[in-house]
Amino acid sequence: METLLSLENLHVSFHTPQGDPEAVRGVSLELRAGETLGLVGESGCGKSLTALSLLGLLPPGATQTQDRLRFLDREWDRPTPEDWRSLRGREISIVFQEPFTSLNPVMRVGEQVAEVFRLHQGMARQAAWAASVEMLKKVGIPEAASRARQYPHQFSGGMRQRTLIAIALACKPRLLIADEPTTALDVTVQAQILKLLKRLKREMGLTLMLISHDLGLVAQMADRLAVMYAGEIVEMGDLQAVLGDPKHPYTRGLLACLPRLGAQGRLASLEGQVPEISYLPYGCAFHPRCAHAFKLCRRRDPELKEVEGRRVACHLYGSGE
Amino acid sequence: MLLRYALKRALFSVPLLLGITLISFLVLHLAPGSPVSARGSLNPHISPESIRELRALYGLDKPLSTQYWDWLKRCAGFNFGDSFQDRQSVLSHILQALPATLLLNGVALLLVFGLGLPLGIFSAIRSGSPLDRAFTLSSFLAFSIPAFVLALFLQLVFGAWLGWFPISGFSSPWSMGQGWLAQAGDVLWHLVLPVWTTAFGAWVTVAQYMRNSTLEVLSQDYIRTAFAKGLGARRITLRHALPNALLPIITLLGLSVPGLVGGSFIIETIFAWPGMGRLGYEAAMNYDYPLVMGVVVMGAVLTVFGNLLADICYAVVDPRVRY
Repeated sequence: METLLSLENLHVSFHTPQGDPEAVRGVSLELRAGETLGLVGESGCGKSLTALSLLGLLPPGATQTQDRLRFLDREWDRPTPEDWRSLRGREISIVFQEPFTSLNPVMRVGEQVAEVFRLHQGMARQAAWAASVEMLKKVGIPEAASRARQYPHQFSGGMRQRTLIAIALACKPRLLIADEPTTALDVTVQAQILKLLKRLKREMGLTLMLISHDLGLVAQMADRLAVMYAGEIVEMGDLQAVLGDPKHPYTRGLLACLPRLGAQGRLASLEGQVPEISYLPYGCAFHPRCAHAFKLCRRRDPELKEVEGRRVACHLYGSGE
Repeated sequence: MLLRYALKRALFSVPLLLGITLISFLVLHLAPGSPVSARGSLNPHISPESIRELRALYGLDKPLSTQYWDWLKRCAGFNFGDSFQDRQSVLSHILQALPATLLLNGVALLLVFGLGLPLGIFSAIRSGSPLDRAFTLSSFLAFSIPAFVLALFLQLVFGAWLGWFPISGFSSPWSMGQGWLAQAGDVLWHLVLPVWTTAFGAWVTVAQYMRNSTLEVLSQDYIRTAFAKGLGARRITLRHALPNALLPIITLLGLSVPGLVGGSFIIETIFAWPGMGRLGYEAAMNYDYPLVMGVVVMGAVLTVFGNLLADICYAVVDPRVRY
C-alpha cells in the first residue's frame, strides 16, 4: 500500500522558566493511503499533540521538531507558516473533541463551511454557499438549506460535530485526523458519528487517524493501532495482532481494563498514574507501573523494535545487548 | 419581535426613572439651605414678610409631596419649569449648554474608541511583547491619575508654562466677528486640554478592556478551528476574533452615552467649559431647584437610554441573546 505520510522522530516540548519538558519524545509513524490508524493512550500521553503537530497547530509555548515529515511525496521537514496554511483544511483536516465550543458563535453555520470553499477553491460567495449546503446535506444535517442560515447555538452537539466534519471534509483532504471526535457526545450520538465517519471515509477514499482514550471505540474502526505512553509509542501494529496478542505490558493493561459483557468480579484498572512530563522516571517511563520491570527497565529507555510482526518498545523482548 | 422587546424594556424603565427623580428631589430639598436663604439670610434688612413672599413665589411653602407632584405634572408636559435665578426656562438653559458638552465629549469619545480599540487589539495580538508590557504598565499609571490632577497639570504645563493652549473657556473674545473657519479653529484650540483630560483615563480603560476581551477570544476553540481551516492570521483576527471580542464593548459604549450628554462637573468647571456639567454645578451652588432637577432628569433618562440601547445592540449583534 502507498505511504501517504511518514513522520520520523517527532519531539514536542513546552517552554517554561524551569526548563523545556518534552511532551512527545521521538514519535515515528506512517500512514498508508486509505487506512485507519488508531492512536490510543491515557489523557496527557501526547497523542493530541502528535496530531496537532501534523498540522503545525501546536498551542503557543510548544515547539515541535522532527527529523522527517513526508506527506504526498513531498518533504516538509521545516514547514513555513505558508506551507502549513496550504496543507490545513485542504490536504489534512482535523476534527476536535469539543463540538460545543469549536464553532464561531456569531457566524452562520453555512458561512463557516462556505469559508473553506472560498479559501481553498476560490469560489464566489453564492457558489460557496451552495457547496456548503451540499456538504451539510452530505454529513446528514436535515433541511440543510434552512439550517445553514442558523447559528451554532441552535444546533445540538451531534449536529455541531457533523458541521465540524463538513468543514474538515469540504475540500476533500487526503488525511482526516479525528481527535476524540465522540468523547463529548451521548452514547447514541457517538454511534451515529462513527457511522458517518466510516461512510465518508469509504465514499471519499480518506485516510483516517483516529485518536481516542477509548480502546473499544478504536477497535471498531481501525486497521492498525498505535499505543502511546508518556510521549512515546510503546506498541504499534495491525489491529488484530495487537489486540489478539498484546506484547507491551501497558497494552495488556489497557486491554484488561475493557469492560466485557457478562464478566464477573471487579473491573480491572491500571495501578498508578501517568507520570508528569517534567518528572519522567529514568529508564522506561512505564517501569514504575509495570509488574514485569527489572533492572534494565530502570536504566535505559527501550527502543521500538520489530517483534512478531509489530513494533514494541519493551526490554522483555530482547534487550539488544 | 425586536420592537416589542425594545418597547417592553422602555416601559420597564419608567418606574426606575420615577424613583431616580423622587430620590433626587428629596435629597435636594433635604440638603441644608434653600433658595430663599441663599438670597435672604445674608441680608440683615430683609423682613420675615419678604421671606414668606419669596417662599410663596417659588412654591416652597407647599408640602414637599405637593411640590413633587406639581413638578411631575409639569414634566409630563415637557415643561421643566423656570430657573430661580433668571426666570428663563430650564429647557432653554439646557439647550444652550448642550452643544458645548456634546462637542467636548463627542470628540473625546471618538478618540477613546478610535484609539483604544485598535491599541487593545494590537496589544492582545502581540501579548507578552515588550510593547504590550509597556502598555499594560503605563495604563496602570495613567489609570491612577485623577482627572482633576491631570487637568491642573495640563493647564500648568501647556497653558501657563509653554503657552501652547488656552487654559480655559470655549472661545477667545478676538475670534468674534471673524470668519467661521477662524472661529471653529479657535474653539478646537480651546478644546485640546479638556478633551485630553476627558479622554485620557477612558482611553486606557477601553484599550485594556479590548485587550482582555481579545485575548480571551483568541484562546477559544473556534479560533483553533479557524486556524485548522487554513485561514490566515489577519482574516482570523478580523472575521472570527473581532466580532466576538467587540460584544462586551457594547456595554462600555452604552455606559458612555450619559457622559456624552451629561458632561463632567469637575472637568467643565476646571476648564470653564460652558456645558451641562458646569450648568448643573452652578445650579446646585445657587439652590436652583428646577434647574438641578432638569439636569438630573436629563442624566437619568440618558443613562437608562444608554443601557437600553446597549441591550438592543446586543440583541441585534449576538444571535445567542433571546428576547
